[in-house]
Amino acid sequence: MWNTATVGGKARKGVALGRLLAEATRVLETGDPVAANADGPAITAAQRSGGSTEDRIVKRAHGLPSATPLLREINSLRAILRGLIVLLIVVAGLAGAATARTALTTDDGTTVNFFWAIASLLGLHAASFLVWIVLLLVPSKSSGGTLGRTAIWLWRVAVERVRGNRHRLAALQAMLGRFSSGSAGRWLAGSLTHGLWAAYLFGALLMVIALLSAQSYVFIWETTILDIGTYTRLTQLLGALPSALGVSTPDAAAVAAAQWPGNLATTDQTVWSSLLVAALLLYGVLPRLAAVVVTALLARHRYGKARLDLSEPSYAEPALRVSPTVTATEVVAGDDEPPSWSTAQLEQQTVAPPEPGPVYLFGWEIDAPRSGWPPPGTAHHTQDLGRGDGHADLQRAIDVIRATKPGRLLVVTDLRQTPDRGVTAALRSLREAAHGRLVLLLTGEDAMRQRMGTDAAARTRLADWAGAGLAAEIDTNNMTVIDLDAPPEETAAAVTSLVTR
Amino acid sequence: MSRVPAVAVIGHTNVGKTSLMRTLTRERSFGEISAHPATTRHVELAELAVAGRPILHLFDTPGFEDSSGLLAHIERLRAQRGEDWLESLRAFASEAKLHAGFSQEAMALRQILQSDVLLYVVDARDAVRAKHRDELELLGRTARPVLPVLNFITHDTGHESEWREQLARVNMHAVVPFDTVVYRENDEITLYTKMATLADGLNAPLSQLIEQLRTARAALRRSSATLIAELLIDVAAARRAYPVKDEDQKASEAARLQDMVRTRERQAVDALLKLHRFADQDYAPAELPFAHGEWQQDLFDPEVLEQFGFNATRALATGAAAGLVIDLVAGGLTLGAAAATGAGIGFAIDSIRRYGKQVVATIQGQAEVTVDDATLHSLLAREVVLTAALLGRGHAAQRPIVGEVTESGDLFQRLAPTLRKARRQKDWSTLNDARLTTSRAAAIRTIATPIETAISDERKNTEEV
Ligand SMILES: Nc1nc2c(ncn2[C@@H]2O[C@H](COP(=O)(O)OP(=O)(O)O)[C@@H](O)[C@H]2O)c(=O)[nH]1
Ligand SMILES: [Mg+2]
Repeated sequence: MWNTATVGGKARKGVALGRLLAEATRVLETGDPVAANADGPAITAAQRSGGSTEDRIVKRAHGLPSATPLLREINSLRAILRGLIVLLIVVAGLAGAATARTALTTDDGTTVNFFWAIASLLGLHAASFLVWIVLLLVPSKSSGGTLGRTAIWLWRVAVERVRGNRHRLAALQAMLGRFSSGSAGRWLAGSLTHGLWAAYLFGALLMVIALLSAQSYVFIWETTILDIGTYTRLTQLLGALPSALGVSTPDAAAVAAAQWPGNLATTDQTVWSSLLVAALLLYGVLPRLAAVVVTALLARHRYGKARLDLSEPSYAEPALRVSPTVTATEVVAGDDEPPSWSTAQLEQQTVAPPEPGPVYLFGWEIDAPRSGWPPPGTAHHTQDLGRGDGHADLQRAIDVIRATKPGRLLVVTDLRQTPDRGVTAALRSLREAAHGRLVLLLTGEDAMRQRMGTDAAARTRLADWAGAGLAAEIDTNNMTVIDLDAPPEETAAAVTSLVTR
Repeated sequence: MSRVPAVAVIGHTNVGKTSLMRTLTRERSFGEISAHPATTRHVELAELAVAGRPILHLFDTPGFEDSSGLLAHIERLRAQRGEDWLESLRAFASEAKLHAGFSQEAMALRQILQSDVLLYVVDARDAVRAKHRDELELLGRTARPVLPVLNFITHDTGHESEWREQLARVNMHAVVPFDTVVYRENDEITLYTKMATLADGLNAPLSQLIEQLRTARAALRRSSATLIAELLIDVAAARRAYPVKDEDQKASEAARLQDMVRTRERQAVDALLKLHRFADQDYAPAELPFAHGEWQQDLFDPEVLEQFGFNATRALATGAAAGLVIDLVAGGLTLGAAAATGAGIGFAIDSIRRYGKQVVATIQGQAEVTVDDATLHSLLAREVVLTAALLGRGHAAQRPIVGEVTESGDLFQRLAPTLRKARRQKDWSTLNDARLTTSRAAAIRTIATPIETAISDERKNTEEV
């Protein structure tokens, strides 16, 4: 991320920085709802900007007052990291030079065991490079190179000491999250690791060249148990790539001549020197540099694709605010009159016996109750007009009732039904037809209570029915609640008293 | 269709029109809901948006009340004026002098005549009555595509087939079950899918809406799981110290710990409710049953050792070993040695800073109370059940979710390794004064995944019932 910025990379860097800022803002706002709500202008700007929800969240983060201090802290933390990396690179280079010096130093000051020197210069590098490659192939939570991780860890330890600045802590948390997240973090650490190794090997290379320029060495090899063929093949192997590139490397004769102790005078030291330098360059510095380029590109690519995790709970609210799912609710037509239902309290007093005359029974908008229809206890005393709904049924019932003045009209309705204006209108017509001698029986209380869920709602429903009765000019004395779904014996007595004198 | 498509939500009074608006908009305070008839006395718009862009207009309307009377009234008008149905309906809707006590219905009709699609809400617990047949006849005359919505379908399905038959008779074959109180994602998707087939130009906006809905639901599950995971980690790692053998102090620290955990649970519940866009009134939790364990830092506790061991390994892995090898190969000051000394010392300091206090505390005879597994267990179960309930709750629902104490089964076993680790990580709990760690976030991610699965399973179970 701190690598060279190409022109095309600028926009990408902007995106990466924006996401980092959004993350830092999220951390800052977590558990700080006041800050989350004081963002009116930022929200408006974000909404106006269009784009995806992520874009808008980034936009919002940029628009908040916290953006300035957070960006300042992000930049400062980056600068510290950059400085630390430079420092580590210098240290690595010096360490490489020191290693090279050690490798080319022997007791007598002139003879150097060539293969021993190669091993100390390239051995560890080769081993760790191989391990890194193997770990790449093995799916695991591999770290992307220990040196890179250590560098980030050192950086963190260094900056974490700063306390009391919540912006810095939020920026740090966000950056750590980005560094330790998935494959992007791994490639980033990898490029750091390779960079340090490249510096180490480059330092070694420079030192080797300097020593070879200013001192005279005699390269030798020695063995107790191996034969000359092994060393010849080893030299050929090492020299294959350099000689393909035109570097002169030791041939079999040179290998034979360099065996210790032997006739060292005949050996040509330049071929050994050029092999040493070429090996360092071709097997050391260049592969590491290539790895730096590849991992850095991969890291950049991954960071470009690493979107904000909008399923983080603390993004939910800003996300909804920058991309609301409901953009407006408003009353577009209507009167200011308050809702005008009438309610009344049902008095649980007994209804008076019917007047002389026929007693009619009519069910309005009800299904057959569980105790059957007509209700138990009415059979011998009433004239059953059946159950009905709709204009035609109502008219038929009214015609019958009108024919003779009734002693009573018992109308059964269901408490589960909402007492709407249609009900009121029907009750009013029935009451008129019955010369006011209408008694309203409200059934289905148990089922209604179950349906309404709460006791308060159930009481509302009872009051609404009483209100509907009143609106139809039925006196509350002439309303009663009897559950016809109850066992017949229970209901019979109650109903009988309504229909007999 | 350049203008935003308009959908009118209509139906008899008190069947759940406003409830449907609430559930579709996730706005639990949209309009007014009550058991009274004629609660809604205006037309109210809700503008649905995808990525902040308006995509659909939903209109809540006053319900029909005296539908039979209304039909008769308009029929009379038509006969008087000698017009066709649509003309008479338009005249009735727009001219106040023709309303004749049906002003609420006129308001609804006016909206109906301006809409592209009608959602006709039915309370499927009710039998089909003449008033409904009259409403359907009237709707047929408006020449608008109608999608019937069978509400309260999960409560009592007694009359569903009767309704379907009646609706088919008036050529309404596409019917959606949609309970405004018991939410089911698939029902909402079905609603929009079927709606899209009813009018031109609805397909594109509605598929976007469906897409957004799916994404949002998935994010909701994940976010809920993360909130629960954070709660568990905070509680598992919470601890209060007291001097060994000081029973009074121990009791008061335990009580303090319980308070902290209760408060923390309340916070998590609030966050969950807010995330799902519900409010306090939507949840009536039972008291959290409590048990707390006592934890004394034992230096020779295998887990403590492992903790030290773990860090030693890491320190080695991060450079010390490399340095050793380089030294072996080359001797002298090498990069490896530099890294090893730097990193090794760094890690050692880190370890001492982290655990040193505990070690000192142990030596000085400090012990700590922590929350035990049983409590963690019931916290987990409660929050999973709550989340599943929230996922299955329509925003019209009036009755609160009752918090029950249940068992979480083998989910807890799956989380146990991470939670056990959390017990040793004082830094992971915001209830202690937490330090900045990235390992806490990793632990939260680790347990959030099985929690998310459990939430989905729990949700499936309740949907099947
Ligand atoms: N059983 C039950 N009924 C509910 C719940 N929420 C709302 N209702 C009822 O659903 C009915 C419909 O209300 P509303 O949406 O205002 O109907 P609208 O007149 O068509 O707008 C009312 O009787 C409410 O009491 C609930 O959670 N459970
Ligand atoms: Mg309403």
